[in-house]
Amino acid sequence: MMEKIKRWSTRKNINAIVFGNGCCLHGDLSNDFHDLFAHSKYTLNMVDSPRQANYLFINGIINPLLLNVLLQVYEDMPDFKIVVALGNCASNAGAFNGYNAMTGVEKYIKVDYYLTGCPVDQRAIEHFMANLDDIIFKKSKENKE
Amino acid sequence: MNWTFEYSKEILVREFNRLIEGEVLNDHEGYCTFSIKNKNLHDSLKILKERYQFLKLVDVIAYSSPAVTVTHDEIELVFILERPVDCEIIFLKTSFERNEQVADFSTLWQIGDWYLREIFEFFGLSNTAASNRQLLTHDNVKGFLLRKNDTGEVIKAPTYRNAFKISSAVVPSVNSTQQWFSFGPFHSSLDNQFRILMEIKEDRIGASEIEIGYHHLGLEKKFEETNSHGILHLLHRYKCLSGNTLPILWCKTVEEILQIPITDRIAAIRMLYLEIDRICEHLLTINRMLALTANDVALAYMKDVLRMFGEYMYHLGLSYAGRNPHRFGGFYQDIKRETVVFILQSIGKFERKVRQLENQLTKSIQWIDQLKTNEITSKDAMKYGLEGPNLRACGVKYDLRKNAPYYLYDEVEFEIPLGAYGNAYDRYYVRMHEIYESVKIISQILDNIPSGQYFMQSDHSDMTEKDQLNDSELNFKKYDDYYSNGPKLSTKEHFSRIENARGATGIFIKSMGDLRPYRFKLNGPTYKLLASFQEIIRHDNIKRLPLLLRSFDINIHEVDR
Repeated sequence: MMEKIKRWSTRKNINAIVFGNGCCLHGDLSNDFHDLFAHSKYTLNMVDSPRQANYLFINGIINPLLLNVLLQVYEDMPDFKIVVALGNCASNAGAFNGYNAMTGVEKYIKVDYYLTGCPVDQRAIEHFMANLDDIIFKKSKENKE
Repeated sequence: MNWTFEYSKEILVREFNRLIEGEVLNDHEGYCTFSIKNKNLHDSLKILKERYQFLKLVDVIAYSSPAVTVTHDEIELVFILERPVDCEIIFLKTSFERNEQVADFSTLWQIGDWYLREIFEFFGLSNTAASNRQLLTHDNVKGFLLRKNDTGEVIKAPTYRNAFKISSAVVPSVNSTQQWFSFGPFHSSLDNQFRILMEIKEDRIGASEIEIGYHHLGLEKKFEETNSHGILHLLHRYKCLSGNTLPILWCKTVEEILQIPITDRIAAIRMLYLEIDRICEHLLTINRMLALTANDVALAYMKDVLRMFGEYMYHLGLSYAGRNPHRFGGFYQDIKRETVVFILQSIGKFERKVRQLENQLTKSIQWIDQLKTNEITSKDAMKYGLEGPNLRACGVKYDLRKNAPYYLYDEVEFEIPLGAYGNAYDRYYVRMHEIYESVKIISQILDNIPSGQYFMQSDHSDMTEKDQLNDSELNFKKYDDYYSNGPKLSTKEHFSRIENARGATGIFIKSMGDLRPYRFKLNGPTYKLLASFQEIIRHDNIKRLPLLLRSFDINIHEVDR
């Protein structure tokens, strides 16, 4: 019973942090993203600390120095964690692939969903919202095992 | 400050030659270039600063000499100095061999330390100041990345910096009353990621050190491998918080190199873009400051203002999803008449809304009390190398738009708002009033927007016009060539700058008659700000630190590149 309530609450509430380093989204989730969540059945809470967050949105380019910080943030998050790479830069370094840019962070942390595009298309985000139930279901199954 | 000054350029050249053995290389576009021997570097910088009042160190650029061999390789250093009283710029050039040491000029300018560290980490030139540490890169970098004959390697794995620790602060024991703590790089009230490690005495900040490099991409190295069209489109993407200034600045640089004349209409539209950008940046800065305070009424007004401003951005095609309108010698398409009419009709309403917002803030006792941070005197501000609104808040009347006008800024009427004490409130006040001045400029431009072409073709390129594409296959090939390779950059060393929302931003380029630049360097005002940031936050209250940081409008992308 408790397990059921827990799953229900995690499904409806998105406690997210943004590990942004200056993408097109001005280092914060854009207003569009907020509006989109407002119309759907989920609520988006931006929290201050990774210890309260279940969702991690990564945007912008990650370099070796910043990757260290990202790993710490990932470790600090509680067990049920969903990681989303927002935009081309977070997914595969995008247009600015240089000597200091990591091409993807999936080598070090498990990324659950990639939203590619520069900037991310509105429809891609909508698709992500539609598939969110599946992702959560899959994730909770993995956690059980 | 005493800025009386009578030296003309000829006297400067004559006297400087007598004092320091050197030679004047050339005098193009008003820039004097002095070539000196490297042992005289410190003396000549001191003479120029103290005797001829070249108070500003605009930039220091290093590049490996083009005539490079395996046995004999030289690094050339270019110092760009500026005299603030008449905005005159001179270049000072020296060359160093690999085993020689650069003289310490961090005693003259506070930023010198960071420049020395950057030269060391990218070119391997050590210095007498013993600051041979990394600034932007990390421990996994092997070799010197920007040397032309050295292939540096980077291992892409998570890494720390071993050398980073507080130099002056004592690490506390169990019983000591001293505390020190680290702020950033991931912090909810810190939009830009850098790390401040500071010592705390009661509730005041003592010694501190700043660590940057969390955003370093290697942009300069990438641009040296990209042609000029590629750079234009990457800069449009790299706007992050800088808006359209960077692509406009790059267009201006290339136009000056290739000597493409631009019409008044192009200049006017570019001014419009720049001013819209300035308003956008200032509004976002004030919004970020407001987010930390509990002023709900002001936040509601702010939301209203931002929504209205978003409409302008959308109509001008400046929203992020929009395509890059900038081209060398003009624009991709002309500004629409409906847009001009729309902005002209509603700009008065926009200004009224901003005034409503200001009424909530400027005289509010709570707001004034929250922003009462440490004061910066004008003398200190010049020493720290502050620029833009941060400098003007300290009472220094310096603005590139007035002092060295470019485009049509000498034809429009506007004023430069100044602060008195140089605290966070003054910085807010200057930004707020600059919005009104920008609105004034925009309405003047749009009132009588000059007629003319919106795109000028350069004589150097063989590009054909769009209408003639179907005439022959050769035309199509030429068109394709131009847009895939870009124009050939003629052999030149050029420095070009414009006034950003944060201050003077410049691009230095050395080209060798190739499609790609030989050396490309971005220079932003935030770099100088952060270099002396430990002096600025010293003795300030720790609880005001987040608001203080946001009041400076720090853009880390100008620093880390």
